[in-house]
Amino acid sequence: MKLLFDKEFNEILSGQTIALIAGLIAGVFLAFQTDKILLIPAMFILIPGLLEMRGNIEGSLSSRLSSGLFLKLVKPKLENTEILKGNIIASFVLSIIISLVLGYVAFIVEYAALGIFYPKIIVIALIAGVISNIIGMIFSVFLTFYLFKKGHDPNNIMGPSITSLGDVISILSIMLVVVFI
Amino acid sequence: MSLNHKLKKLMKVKKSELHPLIKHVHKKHNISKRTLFYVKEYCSNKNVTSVIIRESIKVLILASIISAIGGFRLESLKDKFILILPILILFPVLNGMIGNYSIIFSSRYSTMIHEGKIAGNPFKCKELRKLLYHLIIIGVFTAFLAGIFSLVFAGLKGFDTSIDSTYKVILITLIDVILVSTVLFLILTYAGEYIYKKREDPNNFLIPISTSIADLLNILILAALANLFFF
Repeated sequence: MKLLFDKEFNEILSGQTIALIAGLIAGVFLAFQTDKILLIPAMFILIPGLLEMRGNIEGSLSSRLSSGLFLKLVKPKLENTEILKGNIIASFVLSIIISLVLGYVAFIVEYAALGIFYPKIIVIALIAGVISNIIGMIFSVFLTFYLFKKGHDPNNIMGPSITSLGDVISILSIMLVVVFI
Repeated sequence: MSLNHKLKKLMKVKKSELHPLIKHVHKKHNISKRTLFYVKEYCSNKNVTSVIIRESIKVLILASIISAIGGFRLESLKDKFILILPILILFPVLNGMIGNYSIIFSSRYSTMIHEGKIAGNPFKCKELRKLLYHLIIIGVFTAFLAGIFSLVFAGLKGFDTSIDSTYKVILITLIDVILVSTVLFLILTYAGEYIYKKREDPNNFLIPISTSIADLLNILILAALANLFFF
């Protein structure tokens, strides 16, 4: 028994506790704004993809920056270097492309399968994707640099944090867009 | 050899290979395997933006389409689904949790394969069994907590938290986590073995695709269970 509840067990448990808290926050936002968010056509098709996109794009951004930091190709401060600029631009462009893909897929599926014509979902996907990308990217870059400066390998901490925080940021971005559109 | 020199050497390693240097640098300098993986994958190219976009776009589009399939199932059950508030709250919680389990499992299992710990039946490997026990115990514990909290928050929004619905929500959460994790671990175990036999690095395939499969399975099973227990 003692062998089972070791350091590894505690590490996984603490990561999952963070994921649990962040997921609950995202879930509560969704549940309390049902009338504003979830009644919009195709929103359920869009949300899983948007939530996952954050972890995939910003998680990879953080990992690439960590590699650059260890290689001394990136300094842990905001500088106009090719590698930092390239990473930020790539994440931003990917975010726009994937948001558009998600928006179009949601629109087409909703129209083809359920007969509901709602092109606005493409705009919602794009704006929510861009807003959450900007917030998520700022968080990823600064926290990666901060953790590295403190002597940690950012990947050990950033993986679960980005996916968990990404869920909350994405839901808040959707809410923001829906309110203003 | 200095750390920087080792990392520069790693940049020259072919993408499909997992070099022993990764294991060495990970152990000696306490740098995560994920960081070293990205050193090998991305740091040798000068045109950073186009390389990242070119190499990420396919898997990201695939992940988006897989997510949309799950989302469509939810959309078609939308009218029923939004009435069960605890399940609505649980949806991002379980997606995140199961996604994390799949990442932990994929990366640890890939390492075990490369270290030669998996020979013959993977489930005979002590380390893999221990990892599975960890994930299942933590999965059940956190799923139970998630179920309780979702009921509390749903109660605040006026959801009827009677004994009957409490029992159903907790049962749905536990069945979902156990079922999705079991199917996912089986898929990833055999996929990892197959990829390694083709002399490719399982990290390259398992990690990006595992969260998408986890999301899809979670959505489909959660929707089916909600339908079964509540309607």
